[in-house]
Amino acid sequence: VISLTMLWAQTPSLSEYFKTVVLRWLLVFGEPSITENHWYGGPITWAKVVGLFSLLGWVASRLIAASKAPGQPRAKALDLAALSALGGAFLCALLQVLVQTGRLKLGKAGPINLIDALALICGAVLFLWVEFRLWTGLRRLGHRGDLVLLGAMHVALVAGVAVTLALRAVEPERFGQVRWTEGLRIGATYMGLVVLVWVFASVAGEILAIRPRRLYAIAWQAWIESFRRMGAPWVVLVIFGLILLFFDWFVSSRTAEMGRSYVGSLMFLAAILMMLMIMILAPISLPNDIRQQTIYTVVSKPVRRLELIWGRMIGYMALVTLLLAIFGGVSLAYLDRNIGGEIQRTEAAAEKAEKQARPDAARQLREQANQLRTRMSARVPVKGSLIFFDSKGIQRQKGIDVGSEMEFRSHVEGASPSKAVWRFGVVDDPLDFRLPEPKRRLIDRRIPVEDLLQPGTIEYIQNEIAELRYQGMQAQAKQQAGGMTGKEVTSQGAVASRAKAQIDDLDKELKLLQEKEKRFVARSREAKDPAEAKAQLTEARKLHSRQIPIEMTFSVYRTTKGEIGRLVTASLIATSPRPDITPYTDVFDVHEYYTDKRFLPASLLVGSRGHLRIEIQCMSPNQYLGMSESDLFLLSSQGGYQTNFVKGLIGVWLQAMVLTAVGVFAGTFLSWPVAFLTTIFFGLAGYVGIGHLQSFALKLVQGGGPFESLIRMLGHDNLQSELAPTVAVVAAKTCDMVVSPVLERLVYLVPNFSALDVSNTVADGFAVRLDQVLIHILTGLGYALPFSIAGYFILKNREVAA
Amino acid sequence: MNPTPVTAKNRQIYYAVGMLILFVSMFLYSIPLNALKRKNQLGEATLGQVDTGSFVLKLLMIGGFRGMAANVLWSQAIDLQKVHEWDRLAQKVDMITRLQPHFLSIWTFQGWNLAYNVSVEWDAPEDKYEWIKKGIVFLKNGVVKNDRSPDLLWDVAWTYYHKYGFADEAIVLRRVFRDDDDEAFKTNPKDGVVQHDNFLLGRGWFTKAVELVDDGARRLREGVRTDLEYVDKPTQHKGRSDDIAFRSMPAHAQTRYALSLEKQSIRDVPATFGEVAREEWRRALGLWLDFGHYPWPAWSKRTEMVELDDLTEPAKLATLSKDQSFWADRWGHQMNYPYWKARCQAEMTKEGTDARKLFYEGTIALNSEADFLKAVSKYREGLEVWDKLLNRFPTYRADDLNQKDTGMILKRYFKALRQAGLTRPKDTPFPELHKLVEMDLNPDPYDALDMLPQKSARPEGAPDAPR
Repeated sequence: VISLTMLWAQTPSLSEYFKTVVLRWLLVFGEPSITENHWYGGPITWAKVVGLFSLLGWVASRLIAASKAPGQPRAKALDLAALSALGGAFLCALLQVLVQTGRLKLGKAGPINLIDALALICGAVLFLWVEFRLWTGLRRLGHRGDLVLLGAMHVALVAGVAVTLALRAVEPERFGQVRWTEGLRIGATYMGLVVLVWVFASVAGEILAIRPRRLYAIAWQAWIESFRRMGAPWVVLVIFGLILLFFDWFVSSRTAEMGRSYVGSLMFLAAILMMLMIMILAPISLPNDIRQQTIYTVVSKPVRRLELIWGRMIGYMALVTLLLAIFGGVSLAYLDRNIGGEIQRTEAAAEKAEKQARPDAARQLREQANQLRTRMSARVPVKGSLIFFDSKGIQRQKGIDVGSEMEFRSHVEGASPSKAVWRFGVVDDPLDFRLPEPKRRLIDRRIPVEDLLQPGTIEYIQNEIAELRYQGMQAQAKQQAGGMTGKEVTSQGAVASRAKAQIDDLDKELKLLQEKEKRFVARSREAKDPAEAKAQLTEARKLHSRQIPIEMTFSVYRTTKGEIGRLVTASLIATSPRPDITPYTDVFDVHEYYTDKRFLPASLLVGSRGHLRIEIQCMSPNQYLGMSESDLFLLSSQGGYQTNFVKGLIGVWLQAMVLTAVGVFAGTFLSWPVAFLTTIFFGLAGYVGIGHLQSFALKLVQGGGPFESLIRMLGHDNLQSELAPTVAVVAAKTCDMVVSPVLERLVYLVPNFSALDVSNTVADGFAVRLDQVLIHILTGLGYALPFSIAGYFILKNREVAA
Repeated sequence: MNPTPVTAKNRQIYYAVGMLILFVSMFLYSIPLNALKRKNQLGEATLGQVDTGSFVLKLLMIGGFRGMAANVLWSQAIDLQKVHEWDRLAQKVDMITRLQPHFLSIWTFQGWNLAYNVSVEWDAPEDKYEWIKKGIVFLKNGVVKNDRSPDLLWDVAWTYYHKYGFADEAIVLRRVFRDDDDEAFKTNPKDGVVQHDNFLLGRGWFTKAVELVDDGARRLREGVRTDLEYVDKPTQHKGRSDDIAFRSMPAHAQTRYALSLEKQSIRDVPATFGEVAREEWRRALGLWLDFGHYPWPAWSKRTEMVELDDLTEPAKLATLSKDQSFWADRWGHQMNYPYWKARCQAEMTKEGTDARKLFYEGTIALNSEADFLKAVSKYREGLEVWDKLLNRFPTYRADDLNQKDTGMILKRYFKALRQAGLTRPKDTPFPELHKLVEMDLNPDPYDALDMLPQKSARPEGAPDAPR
């Protein structure tokens, strides 16, 4: 294989293709920590991780099967060697810790480190033991398919090493330092992929054999059972009702934030209750069936094992769907009553305060009501790309740091040329500093102009005309550039003339509208009745597109108190890329922690092709305005919160689905108390512990692994200082070294429930986008499918009705 | 798994007996426990009002989990504060108090945190006001649940008094307070009257705290359990026998109220003089005298009692023992008692309020009306009355606080003279005091006339004053 790759690499065009395409893909599929920056990047990583777990599962299951097989050859010496290799691995960890803590000094035997050599030997012995047990066991068991698979896996392992060597040979500047042992890792990933393919192949038949009738029967059984078992759904409903009755005791907030805390808490409540119900129902069902031997009746019928699992999941999920529908309906009614009423009450209070000459109170009440209204909606933002200019006018990635603990906002200085600029359109990525400026990565932040201008209005038609002109110019430029065939020239000419005809039509339409507007304006001037004049002006305004709402939430940092009671002011300049359109300027007071809403004239977008530049400056001297990229956006639409809330519940549904899969999976091979605890562990770890697991996997946790941390806790030690290498500390560190790799891998196994959660988006008043929902569904399936299929394999190989 | 009915029945009997034994033993155990609670004032009902939400939460967090949950909530609260999630912070803190409603430090710390640390993060004064109010309401909740703690009462009073009254934005905050239509928040705990000035509310709560101490209430009384070794020893700060400042606060609050009446200390609210102001100064004097006549045990000799007021009565001072006169002198000066007493005595006279009124009118003429001649005559007249009055109160005249205050008036007077194109008259009273404040360019932060740009003083076409 190696010589073959070398041969390829020598022919120039082939070698180029090999280098850029084949090797790159082989690397992407082989190295677990690398993936492509595309939509398919996630699924590739998923396949690699699931593949590795499948490999582990397969090897373990075959070793167990082999050990149980009759006539197992006695190879006491080899078993002993494997056992001592395990001990040797532990010894390696101990030596490593001793060297690290400075208790032991080990010389190098030539180029090879002693510990590395020992580790290598131990690994080799263990590997040989597994090889021996697998080959002999599988041959004895007589599974030809397994033997073929084992052979394929070995080919994959060699391929991994070959790919590494090829990489070293082809791109020495990038991969010259990579050791061939890295190839084993890539090989292991390939082995995982091979097992994964085998898994798919073996499950495919089972999936094809699934019949909806049987699935339905199992699901129905799960449904009935869950009502019988402690009446779990009723209990959940009653608890939900009870908590809702006394919701005010636990959730109270200022008016402005009321929507956020109510929506967030209601979703949290729904999620927690669903999780609790699933934790109790899902893991207990199968073990109970097995224990009470009711499974006999089921498996004696022609029911597939996968149907047993998926049927149960469908039954529970039907229950979850029903309960979530009830929760959602009740929650929406509750929100409507409470929040809707609160907005009206606050606005009435603001009016009253205005009448009583209490200007501060009136302004604040109005702000609060507006904020609540903003939160209780589904906003679709159009975000730009933010860059800063400092007080000397030099472009910066970030503004001024005022020393706030929260770092994501940086500041612009008041009454200076310092400014923050949001650019819309196809712009260079300000965060990409890897390449020289002209080659920076481009990001697409174009404004969907068509969505923001209303068809049939003056601006819409103007925009269409500009667009057609642009197309015409493009065709012309192409023609001038030459190099086209005669046919292409004619087709381009046709495009240009068609565009011209369209422009003429639109021009006429535009003129009609403009004349109409003039008539309305003239009539409003002539009208004696002010109401009539206003009505005419309203008619005239209807001919135009609506203004473009722009929302901002800036923070204020004061270096002096300034004039007491006076807010910091900011200026806004919105510039179209077209030089013939006058920039729009505006000055406004900044209300910290509230949403400042301003409006841009629709004419700014005419012919902009989605490009726009918005500059914000702080006007008040000695004061600073803090902002981050998401602090300013155009509002493309603002829907009601109801649909959004329902979309948010999909997140809860997906969480419940994943936990159901985990619960049923645990039930396939554990007794019910252990399965129950396992599900609780996964639920808690996925909900509460996932952040910690992630930082543990990224080695961001200070203070060492669990054992070292325990010593630090007991000794009231801090996280940073190095512990004295006492016997206890060395022992703890050694244990950590053994346990940590397992813990670090847990992050792949424990479902990340927060990745499925969209309640914050809903509570903040932003619309949950469809693509977001799809990604969440995919993620949910990415967890649920492997768990349920693992359950299927276990159930298949287990004698449930022994 | 098919137990025979006989064993099942037997088992049920065992369970019932077990339950009965446990119940009876628990009941018996609770009798001495309750007695102990009553003795040490640790029962739910004796500590303050019982909150149902709190009770439910505590029930859910059976026993030891409560501390763990409180710990988690506390660290979450700190994290939320870091990311400026103020409302969620307030909710978390509320949760902690539901778990541990009788742990005073939470109330004290988080009440202060909301009123001082969170409010300062908000830009608009009315938002600051709301967070200070949240802090005060939080502390008041603490008082309801721990009604025998003078500490918490004092914290409530202090926040009303200090955070609204001494902030940089005090003139605006006091205006928002005045406009607030939340009567429960503005009800004086002493007499149940709704009052529109934060200093009066402060006085009411300070008085209540002092009365509680006089009532002998010290929940965490020192020496209750001397045999216990505390991790964090609970200390009763307020109302200790040597905490003199604590007892002076009602008088301070009332004095602050009286002097705030005589300037535009609330935005767009004119000052008050005459009999009303005199009455408030009289009341302040009364409170200072109450404070001055309170007997304190001398530090060096606990059996001899000291009254601070003796310091202002030389004849009586001469008759006192060495310890008494030493501590009267030391503590009296420490509290600046002679100044406060003399000040009230001087300000409560007709001349006192007249002089203040003339100064006020002079400032309006100078800063708002730009009528400099009028300002000069008002200041001049006021200073003459002031000079005569202070001659009767040498302690007050000699005090450097007053000298600075008077110096500031002189400064305004000289400014009016300059604007009117006049020279300083030779016979100006207090000529030496001007030097004290000449270099001080700060405006009086508690006087809107000095602090805020005045509408009529602005040139034509200038932007309007904010809201």
